Amino acid sequence: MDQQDVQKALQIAGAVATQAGQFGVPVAGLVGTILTGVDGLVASIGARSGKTREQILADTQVEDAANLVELLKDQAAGE
Amino acid sequence: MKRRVQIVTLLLVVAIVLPACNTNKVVTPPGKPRDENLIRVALATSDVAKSVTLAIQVKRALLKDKKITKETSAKLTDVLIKITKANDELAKRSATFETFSPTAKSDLCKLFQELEQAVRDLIQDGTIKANPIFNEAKVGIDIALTAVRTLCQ
Repeated sequence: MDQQDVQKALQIAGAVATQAGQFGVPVAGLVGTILTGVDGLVASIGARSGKTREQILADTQVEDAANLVELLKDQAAGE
Repeated sequence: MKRRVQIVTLLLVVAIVLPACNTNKVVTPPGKPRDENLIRVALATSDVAKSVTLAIQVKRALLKDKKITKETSAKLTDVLIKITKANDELAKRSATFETFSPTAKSDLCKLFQELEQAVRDLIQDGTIKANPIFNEAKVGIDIALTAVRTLCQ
C-alpha cells in the first residue's frame, strides 16, 4: 500500500471532521463512518498494485455496476 | 439545514478526491504495449468508482442518522447515478484501446468531459463553489481530474 494514499486519507478524514465541527454538527458518528469508508477505500486502492490495466478496467466496470444497482435501489425508495 | 447540505456535499466531493496511484504500480503483460496515458485513464476511472462506493455509504449513514432529508439524499443519488454511468462509459471505451492514439484521445476525452461535468454538478449543487472553506475539496477535485484532463488538452 502506498504511504501517500494513507496520509491523504487521514488528511481528508481530519479535514472533514474539523469542518463538520465548525458547522456545529455532531461529528462522532460521521467521523466513524468516514474513517471506516476511507479505510476500505485506501485498502482497495492498495489492492490494485500488480494488476494490469485490463484487470483494473474490468474491476472498475464491476464496481460501477454494483454501485448503480445500489443507487437505483435508493432512487426507487425515494432516497 | 443549508449547513447540513453543504457538509453532505463536501463529504461526497471528498469521496471523489482520492488521487490516482502511481502508474508504475500497474503491470503490463509481456508482448503488450504499455501506454502510460491509458493507464492514467484506467486509474482515474477506478478511483471514481471506489469513491462513489464510499459516497453511497456516507450518504446512507447520514440519512439513517437523520442528518439529511430524503429529498436531499434523492438529489445526491441522482447526481451519483450520473457520475457512475459516465464513469462506466469511460472505462468500457478505454478498454477497447491499446494505445492513446488520436482516435482514442478524441473518444476518451469526450467521455471524460461528460464525467467531469457530472462531478461539477455535484460541486455546484452544494454551494461549494461560493464558500471559501471548501477550497481544500476544490483543490482535491482538481488533483483527481488533472491526470486525465491534461491528456485531453
